[in-house]
Amino acid sequence: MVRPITETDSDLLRRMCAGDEEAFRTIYRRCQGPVYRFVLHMSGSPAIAEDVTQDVFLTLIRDAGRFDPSRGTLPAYLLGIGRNLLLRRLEKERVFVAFPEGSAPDGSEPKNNGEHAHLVVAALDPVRNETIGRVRQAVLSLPENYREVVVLCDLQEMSYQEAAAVLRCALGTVRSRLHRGRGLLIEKLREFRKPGENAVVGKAKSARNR
Amino acid sequence: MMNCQEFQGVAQALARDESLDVATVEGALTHADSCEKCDALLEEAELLTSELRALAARSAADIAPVRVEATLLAAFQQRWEPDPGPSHLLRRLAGIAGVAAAIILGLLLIGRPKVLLHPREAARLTQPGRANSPAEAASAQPAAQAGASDDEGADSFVPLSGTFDPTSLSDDEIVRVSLSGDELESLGVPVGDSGDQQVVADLIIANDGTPQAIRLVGW
Repeated sequence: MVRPITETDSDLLRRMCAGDEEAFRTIYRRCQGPVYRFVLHMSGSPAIAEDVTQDVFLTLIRDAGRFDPSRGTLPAYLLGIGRNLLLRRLEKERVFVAFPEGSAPDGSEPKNNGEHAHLVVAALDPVRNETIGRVRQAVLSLPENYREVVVLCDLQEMSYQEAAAVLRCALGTVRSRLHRGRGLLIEKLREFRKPGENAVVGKAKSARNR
Repeated sequence: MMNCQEFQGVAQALARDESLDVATVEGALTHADSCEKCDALLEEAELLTSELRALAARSAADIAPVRVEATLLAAFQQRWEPDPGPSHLLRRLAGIAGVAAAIILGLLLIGRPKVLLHPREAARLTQPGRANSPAEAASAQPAAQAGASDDEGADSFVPLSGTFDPTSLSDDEIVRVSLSGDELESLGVPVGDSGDQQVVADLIIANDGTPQAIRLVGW
């Protein structure tokens, strides 16, 4: 049977609830990336990201009927499940910052065991990679409530409204937490930054249309 | 003109290229030009935006390992596969029993009177030396045709099938029927001129439903 390419999440979910495996596979492939990356940015651990992503979709398989389209999109719903599972796990394990495996002391890219699709291109631009590693560490060091809005809004490029749906909070809360979280990030990165590195800032300034 | 506190309130939004009204953007940029501290803050916020975007771009290809999908598909299949448990089997057995009961009830309601024949009696009735063909039996047993009792008529059972075996009658049964002349003829029993009459007869029916032997009772 030929199905439209742009089948909505609700249609897919309806088919999935009737036992359609292909519909589930499509939902998974559409939504697993954002869920996985959200957990990875929040935890810094590919293993935790993998576990939580799996648990999110197992929850969907078990109880898809709990999704209420009037309260947000399916990706937001799944991210919300992922967030709850992650916070529970972090609470249990107290794993916050730092990549547990393969993390270099200079904050460079975490190593990957090859099973994850994480791209490692460290050799191409070590300075840039070092910078990205520092930003990643700075994000991981944020308090959870600020970290999640930075991850959702700045790294996942979600709107305030979408982030508010995931976090189940007011839009104004997202805005204020993002403002505060970015302020904390700037402070942390200022500590990391080597003397004279602020010259890079000039690039951003010159790019600004004043 | 915007002061430092107001500027700090919009600096992050400005650095993220959020849609702000023109007056706010112009006011903020004018303030940054005249305030070194706020200008530095805006520069750092813009740098942060570019660094976060670089991190996002670097992570864009991060996805869950393939084994997660395989595990989930297996879980999905398990969730939806038919339940082979005992309750399922019981339901099937109950269904079969129900159908069987309906068939038996139907047979009882529409069936004709029948008498079960004990296997020993059936064997005795079909001993060698008795009539071997329906025609011979019909002509040789006038007493039975005159309305003999069940006991008297028992001697008149005639094989209708070449495979009729009197020693394997344990599961067969005798059914009393009323047959027309044509029906009797179809069984190989000649009826002569009395073709229109109904004849009462006992039939030995095998398990597969085929008549094995006949005994004419009367008409």
